[in-house]
Amino acid sequence: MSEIFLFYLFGGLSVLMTLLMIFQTNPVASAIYLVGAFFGLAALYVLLSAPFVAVLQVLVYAGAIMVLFTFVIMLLNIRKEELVYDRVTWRKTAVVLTALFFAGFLIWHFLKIPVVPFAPVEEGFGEVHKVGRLMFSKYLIPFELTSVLLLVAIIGALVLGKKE
Amino acid sequence: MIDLQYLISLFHAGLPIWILTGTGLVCLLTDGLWPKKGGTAVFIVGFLGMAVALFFAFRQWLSGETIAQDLLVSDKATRFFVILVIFIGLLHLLNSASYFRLLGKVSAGGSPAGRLGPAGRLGPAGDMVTLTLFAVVGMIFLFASDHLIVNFIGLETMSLAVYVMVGFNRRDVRSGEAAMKYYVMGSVASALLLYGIVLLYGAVGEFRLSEFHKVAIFPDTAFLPRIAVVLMLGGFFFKLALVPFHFWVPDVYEGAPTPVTGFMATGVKVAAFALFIRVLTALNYLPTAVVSQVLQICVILTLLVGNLAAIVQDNVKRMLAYSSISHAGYLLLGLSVGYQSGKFDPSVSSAVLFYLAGYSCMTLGAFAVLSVMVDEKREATQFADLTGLGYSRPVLAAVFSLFMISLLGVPPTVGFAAKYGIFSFAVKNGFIGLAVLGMITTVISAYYYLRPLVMMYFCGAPEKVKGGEIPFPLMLSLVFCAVAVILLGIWPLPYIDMAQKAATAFK
Amino acid sequence: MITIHHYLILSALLFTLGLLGVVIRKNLLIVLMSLEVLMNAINLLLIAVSRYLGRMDGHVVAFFIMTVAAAEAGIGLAIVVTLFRNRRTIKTTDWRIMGG
Repeated sequence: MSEIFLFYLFGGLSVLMTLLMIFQTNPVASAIYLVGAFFGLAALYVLLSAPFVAVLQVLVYAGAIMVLFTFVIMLLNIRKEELVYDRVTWRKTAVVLTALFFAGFLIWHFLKIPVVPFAPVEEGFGEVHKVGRLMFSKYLIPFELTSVLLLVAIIGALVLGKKE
Repeated sequence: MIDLQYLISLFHAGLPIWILTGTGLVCLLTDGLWPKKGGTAVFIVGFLGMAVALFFAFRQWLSGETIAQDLLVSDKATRFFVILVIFIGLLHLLNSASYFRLLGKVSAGGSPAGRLGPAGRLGPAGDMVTLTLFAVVGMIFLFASDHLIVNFIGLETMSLAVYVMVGFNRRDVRSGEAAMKYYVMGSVASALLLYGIVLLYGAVGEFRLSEFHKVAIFPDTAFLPRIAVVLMLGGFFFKLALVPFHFWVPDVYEGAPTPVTGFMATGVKVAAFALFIRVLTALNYLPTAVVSQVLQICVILTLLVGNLAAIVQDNVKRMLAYSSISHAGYLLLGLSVGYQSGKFDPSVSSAVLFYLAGYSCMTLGAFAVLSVMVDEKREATQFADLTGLGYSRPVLAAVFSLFMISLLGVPPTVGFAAKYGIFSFAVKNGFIGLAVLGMITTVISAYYYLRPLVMMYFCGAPEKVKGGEIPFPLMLSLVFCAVAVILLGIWPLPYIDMAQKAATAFK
Repeated sequence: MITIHHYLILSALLFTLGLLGVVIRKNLLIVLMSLEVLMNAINLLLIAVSRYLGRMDGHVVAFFIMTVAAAEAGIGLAIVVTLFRNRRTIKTTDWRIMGG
């Protein structure tokens, strides 16, 4: 029973925080709410017996990426008058309705899946040792490919951001 | 577990990829060691590396044997596409080298605060080479694996490189805005595609396309693959710029530096189509009958919207953007006629493969011509800028006319041979309606493809000569594209044979 | 009892919220954050599915997805900084080709 309580606590937390993030005028506040949402997800990963991913979630997302975001926000030094609410337009209303329809469609279908409880997991499921072994054997190629990806990101950021 | 044997076979299977990656790293070092050479050394290194990779890709193609390697497929189809994307990368290098040189020359004497500004205001030219090489590596991984996650990471590698290339003219606001728009749209597309992939994994328990024939689908959850596939199609349609997910294309193609636009219109599309054919073939084993209807509706919309919207454009780059949308429509037509009673027959993809090769040549050629059209302050790519080009730059105008005629699909060129292949498959498989629609839209497209010719030859003399001299690298790429367009048009059989051999690998 | 449904629905909700954020907000930084939410929704789905299937492949893939998201965020922020230098604004409405 405590599991279900924790799910609703952290799941609700991340949905609430995401909503708050979207409807902020100030990007700094948005960033803080987003960190909250990421923490909620990290807790859910622990519930799903994925401790390694949970740790990464906190380190990479809540740590590195959000620091990058706040750093850029500070760097840009946005004027006060830019931080206003967006106007509500017909186009946006249509988009919101479409998105809600999309979500309803997905959820309606998901509810039709037969209910099967999670099977108990083996010893050490999702811990660093086993995940690491998988990553450096079966997933060697994508792992190496991500290094190219990160190199592209570094070069790209330099190309765009370098002083002339 | 990893042993030496595994690594050796991995080395053989992906030889062109390793060469390209290594060249990319060498280019980075070269750029750092000789920063003042204006990127010339880097261009040469990158060109040579690509040429070597192309040589080994050809050798792989000729050797014939399929090297089966875990997560890295090296069959005929993959090798065909590897050769094609390396060619595109090479031509892109030639085009962009000339573009940078021209911009440097044109703006050096002109106003210092021009919109594009002196060459120093551009991104460092050498980095363009490195990004191109890594983009090609990403493209190869995008289709050279049957593991959807490897494909996805390849897609992202390619996309990130292209986002940066689009924003390369840092002082040009349009370039930056185009990069931002492409970035947001592309990220949403990637997310849709990935959501589909993960849902599919949940439904079938498998990321690998080659294992799909083994999976058991329970009737209770048979709808899950269908939803997943629709989401994946959404992602694909974004990347392939098909209607209704095409709205970002004209702005992005207009804002990007001209050679980069050519690279996006060819390389990205070729790679995405390669994966698309692979996925469609694998989906035969899943209950996803909805796909063929979705494809057909999309073909009809794309052909109509692409061709009709191209008519009203004032900018040649925008016109070519819509033209590339409609060509993606013809390509999709070629795939959608492969459906017989809900199953996709990959043998039709031979026509699509040939079309992709021809389309790449003519589109890259057209953008190569446009790369020369640089003025003091801007890229001079309005229709009005073409006025009288037939008299002031006869060679350039003649070549451009050749590419326009080929894009339209007039007999002695590759455009005709490619379209003929697609339509004949459509008629053979009983899709008369789609074939007729394709022919009607081709006739409509005559209006906007012939308009540049009219501007160049029948609208009087130019006020002044537009654009700079043609630099040597650009001459090379123009000659190559023009020869390829004519050769593939007059004598297409060997290349159709190649495409057929490649298409048999899809199964 | 917690089943796969809970996580499927939660991830669909988060994905929809992310899409909404991308489309309705004009502030580019918040658009970028919404893109991160999209990636997180996918990761949640992935981890739930691997728990359901009892395989750890999803955990490795989640690691890759985080890398991709980080690289994407880096490039996106670089583009925002470049644009801000030229235009002094981060609102998409003020631009020519992204207006609306």
